[in-house]
Amino acid sequence: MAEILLSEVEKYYLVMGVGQDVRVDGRSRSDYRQGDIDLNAVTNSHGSIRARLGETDVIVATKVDLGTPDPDRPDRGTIKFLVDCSPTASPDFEGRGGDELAEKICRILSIAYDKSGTIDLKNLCITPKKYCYVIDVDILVLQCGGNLIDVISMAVKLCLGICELPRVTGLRYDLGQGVPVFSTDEFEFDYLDVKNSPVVVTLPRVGRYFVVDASLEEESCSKGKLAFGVTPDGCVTSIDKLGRGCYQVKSIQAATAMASTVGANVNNTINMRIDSLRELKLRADPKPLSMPMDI
Amino acid sequence: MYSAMEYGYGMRKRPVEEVTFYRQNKKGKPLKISREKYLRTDICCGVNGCKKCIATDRSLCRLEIAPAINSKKFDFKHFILPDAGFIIRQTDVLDDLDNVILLQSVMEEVYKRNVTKYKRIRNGVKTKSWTYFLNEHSKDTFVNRKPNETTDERNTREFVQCYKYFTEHLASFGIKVIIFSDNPAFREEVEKIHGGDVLLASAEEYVLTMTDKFKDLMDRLCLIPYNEDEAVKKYQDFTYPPHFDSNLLQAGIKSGKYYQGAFRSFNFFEGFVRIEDDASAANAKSGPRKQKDDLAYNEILLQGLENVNRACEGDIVVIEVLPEDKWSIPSGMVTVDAIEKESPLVADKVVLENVETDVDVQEHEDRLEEEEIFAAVAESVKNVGEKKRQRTGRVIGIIRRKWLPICGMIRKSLKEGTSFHYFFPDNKKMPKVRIETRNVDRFEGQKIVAQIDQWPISSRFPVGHYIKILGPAGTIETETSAILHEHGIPHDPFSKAVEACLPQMPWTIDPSEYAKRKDFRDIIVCSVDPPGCTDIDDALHCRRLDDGMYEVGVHIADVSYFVQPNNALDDEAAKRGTTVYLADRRIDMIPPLISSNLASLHSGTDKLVFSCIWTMTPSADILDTKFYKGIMNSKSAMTYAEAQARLNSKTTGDPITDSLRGLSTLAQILKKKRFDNGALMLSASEVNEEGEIEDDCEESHSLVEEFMLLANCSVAKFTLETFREFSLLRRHPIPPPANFEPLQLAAKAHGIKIVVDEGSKALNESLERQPAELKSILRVLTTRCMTQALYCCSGTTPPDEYPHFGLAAKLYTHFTSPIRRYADLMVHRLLAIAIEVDRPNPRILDSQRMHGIAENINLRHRMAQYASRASYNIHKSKTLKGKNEEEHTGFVLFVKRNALQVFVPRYAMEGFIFFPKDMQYNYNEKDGEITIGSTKFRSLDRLTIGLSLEEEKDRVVFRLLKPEVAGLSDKPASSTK
Repeated sequence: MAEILLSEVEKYYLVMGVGQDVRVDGRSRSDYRQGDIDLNAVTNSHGSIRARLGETDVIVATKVDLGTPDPDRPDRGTIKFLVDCSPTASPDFEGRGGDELAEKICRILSIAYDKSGTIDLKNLCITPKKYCYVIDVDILVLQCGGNLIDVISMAVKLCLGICELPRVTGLRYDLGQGVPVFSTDEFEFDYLDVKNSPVVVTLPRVGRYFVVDASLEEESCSKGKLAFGVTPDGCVTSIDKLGRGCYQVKSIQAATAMASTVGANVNNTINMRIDSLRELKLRADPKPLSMPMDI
Repeated sequence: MYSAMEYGYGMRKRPVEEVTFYRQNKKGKPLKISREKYLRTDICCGVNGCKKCIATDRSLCRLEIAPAINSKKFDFKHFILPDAGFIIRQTDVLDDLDNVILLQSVMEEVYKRNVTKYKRIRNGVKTKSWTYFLNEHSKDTFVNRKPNETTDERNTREFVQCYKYFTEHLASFGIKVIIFSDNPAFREEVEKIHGGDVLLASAEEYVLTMTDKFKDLMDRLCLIPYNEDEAVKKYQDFTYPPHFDSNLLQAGIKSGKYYQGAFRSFNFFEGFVRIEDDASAANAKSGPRKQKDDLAYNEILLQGLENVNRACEGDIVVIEVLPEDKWSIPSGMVTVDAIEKESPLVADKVVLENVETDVDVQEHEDRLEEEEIFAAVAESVKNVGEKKRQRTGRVIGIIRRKWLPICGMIRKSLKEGTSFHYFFPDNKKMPKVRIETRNVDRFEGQKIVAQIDQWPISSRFPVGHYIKILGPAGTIETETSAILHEHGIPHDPFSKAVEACLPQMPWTIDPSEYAKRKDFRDIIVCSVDPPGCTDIDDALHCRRLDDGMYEVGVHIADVSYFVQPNNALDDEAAKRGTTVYLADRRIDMIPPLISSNLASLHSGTDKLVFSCIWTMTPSADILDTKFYKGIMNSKSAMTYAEAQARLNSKTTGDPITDSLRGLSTLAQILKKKRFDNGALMLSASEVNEEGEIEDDCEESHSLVEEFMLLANCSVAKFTLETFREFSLLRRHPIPPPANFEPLQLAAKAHGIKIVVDEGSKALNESLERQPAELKSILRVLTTRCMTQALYCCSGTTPPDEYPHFGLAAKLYTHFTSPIRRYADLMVHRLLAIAIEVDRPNPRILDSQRMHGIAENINLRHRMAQYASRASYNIHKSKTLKGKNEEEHTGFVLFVKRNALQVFVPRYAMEGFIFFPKDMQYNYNEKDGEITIGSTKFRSLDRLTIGLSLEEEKDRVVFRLLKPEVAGLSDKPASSTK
């Protein structure tokens, strides 16, 4: 994880501030930073988002592919994640430095989307056992300014929300058996229903308190953090512990309660953003292509 | 970090639109492709003299600022804005209209629907006062697709946008724009989007109100109702089964249920499609087919109007094989066209009165013809038994039409006051065509060109329109242009671009060439050609070396020096492929300046040549072969007769004669070797009255021939050794034994044996053994049984298919006539690279491209042959004009169901002796015999035939004089003068 070095005094000042519910940038413990969303960051993808929250900056793009369903779940499609931590985001990512983090983020995302059952993957199946949609989600970290996983999860949800699945118009028999033929009409597509899919809320413990949307400085003051997958109705779908340190059951319960309320709020906002992005795309002149995140 | 983004937004200040579309790649992956489109503000409206537009090239602005007013209804200055449907339907009308605005988007649509017409219109833009407007790139007319808008809606909106732009733009010149469209739905849509007040016209509306100068256009209108239902209503005399939906067809083809192939017709209601399927593949693997049952192993027979289902010669069709109980056999019938035969219905006025329309007459005639055929087929099925029946199918869809303009004549309808008439194509494989015209009288006796437009499901015959009059039927001029048209031979004068590639006159050999090339100027080289030949492309020399060996050289005009690859001249030559020799003219492949002057090897001047030099032993064994680009000076350009005279003379010491003698001696040895190797002696038609081949100058002929063959073989071997992948070869496939069936039948009938399935040597020897009076005609027949020799690219042909069967050569190509054949020119270029005098050129060393060239020249060659044959036939028939019936010896070539196909060696002419309908005769298909009374006719029988010209129809009539048969030997009234 990208880290910056702080002096003991700076750390002390920061931790004591959190204790008073006033963070260095003036937020309270459950406040998010300012951010915005750009639509169509990658024009040749089937739906792409560039999301910024504070200094964290990520691009998420989806590509729809034709694939064969997993033999274990022959009637479902798949969503695959690939995270690339660019060395421009942090010097720590140079060489293979970002791989471990990337792998971890991939795992969290596939638990949240591919396995949690919050998205009905049956909608991605075209012909059982033979053909299904495979959505490749590519995530590029441009700048790591704290709370990376949360920003990625929000961007991924937004991106899947606006991902265009070209409609299947028929089956073609010249390449093996019944290859689906997709519509070539640029406006003939379906959206994936991601309403119930979770966003990740990471709560690092700074001093004795958990904070949301930690900045890089705050993250360097915490030993470990808990990552929760939270659905719009506040249901926690997963808990992960990242970093070092250990937690008492009581504090985990407190963190879960906090994640549940904050997460529900964030997730609902994201759902609203998805709706407005879809509307934006329907406009004849889809400009401006940008909107505030406003959580 | 935001600077990149800001840069991005900055770019958007220029007129940029994003165009997005979906594609699916081969693996099925859906791709989203998004492109930025930079719109231009400098696209000119195309009006000559428009000051408002910035034009980069004024010469492209061809619209007249003061257009002539040609219409009575639209009596104001206007430009024409056609839609895609109009361009495709009314191409022949559009050709004669001025001031047409062709939109890029419309032309792209035309390209998708009909490439030939697209090319034709696109060429028109270069010369006519038309403009091609790039509306998709212009800021004023670009229209991006809105969400929830169909592509069609967008295209219409785009079209209207262009209309608006032009109307506004041209308002200051007082010019209006009229949208030309025959499609009522499109017109309605345009009005809806524009909000009324649109100038719209259909072709009919416009052309019919045009001034008298444009009277001719009325007949070129395509008048089929746009709406399919109405079209069905307009022509209702037959019901064809509908064609299947294209998705269904594709799925069926892939699953092996249906087959796709090119339809080849015998006549317009019978033909076949050659397909490839498991059954035929299995047959191909099992080696040479010996079983007679396999004859038509992959040919699916199509019989009857319903089964042929509107397919025409050359169309790519989808067929379904019928159940076995409906299988049939080809009728083997020769159709006599209705325009030429005295139809009982036309002659019989009483019957006519009862018939309501001309269509009915036609229908009756065709019914009769069809019924006749099916009766014959049924009879045959009985006679030859069930076993010989062929797979039979029906057409269920047509993938691509091959409707080229066709030549023929219009027969005036018998019904008074109708505007429907029938067009009878010269090519009997094509169906008759309905033509709608208001003044049919001017077509009386004229040969015209017509185009098929459509074949509605309810119409017995396709519907079309006339394109142009070639001239009065029967004149040589008209017939020749009809022949050229029919065979698609490019015969326009060479364009300016081509002429620009010619060297400046007066032209002399560049001094640098003398240094580069090998000097043959001191050697005694001479050429031998037919009299009057101006394009001499080969010359020879032979000299005795000090060590007793001979040096023999073949020098070929170095045309590749004048025709450099990849310019207009080369493109034109590639397109023409070959020089076409007609009876009275020559259609050059390359301009005469090169073909008859600069490159041609006239005597007494220095000429650039490509030479092949052998060192030979006196027994004609080759010790060494070398190729050079050289310079030579021919000492003598002889005719065959002159050369023969020199060979026959007793003089010695003359170097030219010595050279010829040396060549001749070697040629005799080579010839013998060649025949010992199994080369076939084939004969096209040079057979005299006694059935013997005539040749006074045989020696000088064969002298040239042997060395040309040798040069070609040597070059083929050398280029293939150097370029495995992209050599151009000439191959002659081994004819399948089935091809020899008529020959075998004839041989059997005459009690002789011809060995056909043991290679060319055995065949040649068995022909050689036959009695003299049959030998020559047997050779003619054998030649007919051969397959065509073809050009091929070595990289795209399996090596075991390289050999040339007729010449019994393992490798063969064409090298010796680059003036008249493009193949030779390509071979010259390859060879020049191979001997490293030219640098490798990627455009020449490309097997795919070479394959394409080979395909094209194969086609051009075939067409040139057909055209030449047709032209000679016309000329021969002219020699009979105004004469009494001439008596000649003839032979039966083939026995047909209702005719004898006969051959008259005197004129090298072929024709049919038809049996009258009421005649009693017995056709024995198994033995290929026909018995009439006590006379039996078999293939190769010698006959005496009377030839005469039927004046009105301009047709040669063959009449059987000996053996005399009542009904066939009666003197027809019309044939005497």
